[in-house]
Amino acid sequence: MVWLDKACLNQLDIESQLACLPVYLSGCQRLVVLAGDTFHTRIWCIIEIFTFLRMGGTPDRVTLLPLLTAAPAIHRSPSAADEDAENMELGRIKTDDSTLEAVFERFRTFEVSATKAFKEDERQHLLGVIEAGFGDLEVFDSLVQSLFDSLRQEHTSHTEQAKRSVPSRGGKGAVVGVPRQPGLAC
Amino acid sequence: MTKVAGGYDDQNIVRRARSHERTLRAGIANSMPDESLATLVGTNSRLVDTNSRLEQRNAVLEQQAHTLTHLAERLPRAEEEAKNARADKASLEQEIRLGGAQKAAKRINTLISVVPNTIMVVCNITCLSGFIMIFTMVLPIGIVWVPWTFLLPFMALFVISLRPANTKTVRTITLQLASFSTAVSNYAPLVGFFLVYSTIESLRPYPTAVMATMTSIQAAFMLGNCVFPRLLGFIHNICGEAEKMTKREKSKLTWAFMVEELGSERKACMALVSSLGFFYPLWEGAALATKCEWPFSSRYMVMQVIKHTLVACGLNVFLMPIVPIYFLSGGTEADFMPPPRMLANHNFTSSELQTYMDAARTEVLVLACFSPALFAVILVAYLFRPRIHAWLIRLATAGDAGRAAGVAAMIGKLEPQAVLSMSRRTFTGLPFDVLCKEDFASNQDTGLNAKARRCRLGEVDAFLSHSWHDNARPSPSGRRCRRGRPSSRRHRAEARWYGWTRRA
Repeated sequence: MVWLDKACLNQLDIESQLACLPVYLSGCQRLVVLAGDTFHTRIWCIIEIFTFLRMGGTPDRVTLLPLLTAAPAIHRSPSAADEDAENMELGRIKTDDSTLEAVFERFRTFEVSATKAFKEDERQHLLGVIEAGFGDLEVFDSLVQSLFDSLRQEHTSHTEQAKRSVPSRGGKGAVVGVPRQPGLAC
Repeated sequence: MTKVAGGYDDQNIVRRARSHERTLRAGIANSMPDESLATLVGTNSRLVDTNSRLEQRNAVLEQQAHTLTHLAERLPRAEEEAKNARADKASLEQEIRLGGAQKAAKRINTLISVVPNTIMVVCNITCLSGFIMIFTMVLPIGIVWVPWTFLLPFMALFVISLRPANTKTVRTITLQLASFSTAVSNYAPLVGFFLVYSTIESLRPYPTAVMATMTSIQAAFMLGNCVFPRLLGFIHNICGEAEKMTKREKSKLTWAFMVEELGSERKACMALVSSLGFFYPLWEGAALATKCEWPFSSRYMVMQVIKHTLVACGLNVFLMPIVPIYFLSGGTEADFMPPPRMLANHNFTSSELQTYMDAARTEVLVLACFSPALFAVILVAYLFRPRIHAWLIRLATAGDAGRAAGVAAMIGKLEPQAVLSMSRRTFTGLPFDVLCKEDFASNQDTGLNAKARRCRLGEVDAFLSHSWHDNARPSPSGRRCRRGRPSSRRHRAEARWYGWTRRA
């Protein structure tokens, strides 16, 4: 079972249900971060990480799934995009590690004050929440940076172990912190 | 063939029996019937014993086989029960955690009330003391304090806004004090003006102190036109949530607040009528400050403070230098015209005028220092606000149990208890199998909402955190993944994860 905002929030009552977000998050075993290009710039995404950290979350409970950068549709024809997808599936384009590195790089210099929200007052409110939670925005920045740094280190050690034991097949190393117990995956 | 412990089996017994039969026959033939008979009897009894043992062993074996079959039948059910027990355990742990969280939430409420409310009461007492000083001061220069006293109740309201709701007693005391001080603030310039005017008239020729007084009165009246709306806007900015409200909604909120505080609609109505509407802005401010959410970032708060302080008080600040400039540029008593009345009755000596000027020097110095000092105090208060918050929350939420409540109290606008009960009621999970890449293409409902199932807290495996602004488009492989029939659920699920990773 997974929790996805789109499916699990009542669309008619989102405002009040967002207040329950910390409890929803605490009701899940793991945090799965689907990190794309904009993840680190959206304050509601960062609030989820904030909640996780405030509740004593540790890196071993985080699964990072970097999303591959897809160019805007205006720059790419659908056929070209599908062709890329085919190539990636066949392992001809090995972009996973570079994508993951890009995610880590974004979070290495992460600053919560640079995040955005649809409404400015909402953004200020959430920044205030984070500030009140950790005393200072910089403290939170450094915590997020160290969280992703731990994930990077874990990924590096796994990759090295895999290289030593099994010949690399490429494209499988992009999932960091995938749970070893079979319970999560389905 | 039945094998038994001790090496016996059916054929062996038969073989032995036949052997004994042969021995018996040989014994009969050899005319030894007694011995053979005894042997035969002995053998027979052993055979009977062996047979009974075999039967017992067979019964045991059958029982064991039956037990094994029964266990094999119960195994899936036992696995299911074990899974349920694990879920129950997780749920129980969650309940325990949330129980602790509720206690922590109460602790937070109590703790956050103490410090801000103490500051607020101190502010109000200071404010009242300021007014007492104004009316007991003989020198009319005291009137220039009036604009600043406007700030104190609003500072108190800011402090109230440190937390979502205060206790009834504290709110009542605050409102009484703040209402009184506001009323005085409203009438003080008028009363002060007449007092000052008469004093000025009696003090001609004007010394520097009187010049300062006149300038300040002018500033006070000019500020009077802009202070209230600006400060009200200041409160609205603090309250954040208030900015989203229409005027009608604000009025409704304020009215409800007044009725709640005063106990009846009649009293609220009387309060409005008796105060000629002057109480209203503060009532509204107090209602918004106590009912609306509090967290805003320090930078935002500082920005607002600077903006409103400059706008509301800037005029006075800019007018202040007029007096010292005049004084320092060599103005003397000769520059002032003597009052006609006094000219007729009394001639001012130089020493008398010097006394006035010395007094003026001190007061101007105080005034010059007061504005930046107050401004600095406000700024420092705002800069340290998050640290105070963090300290209070850290103090109140020591341990893991309190963290959920702390976060919920900060993000949500509801009471922690309500958040918890609502979360339990509305917590749902989505079976992983029903997800596909198309669901991540946009935040529009693709029918997933109907597929979500009610869950207990702790039952859901993963919380998916993602941004809808990420460009995730469906791919051909995603479609294949859904059409295909992978060998196991686990395999299928992993295929999906990797599918997202590689192509989303």
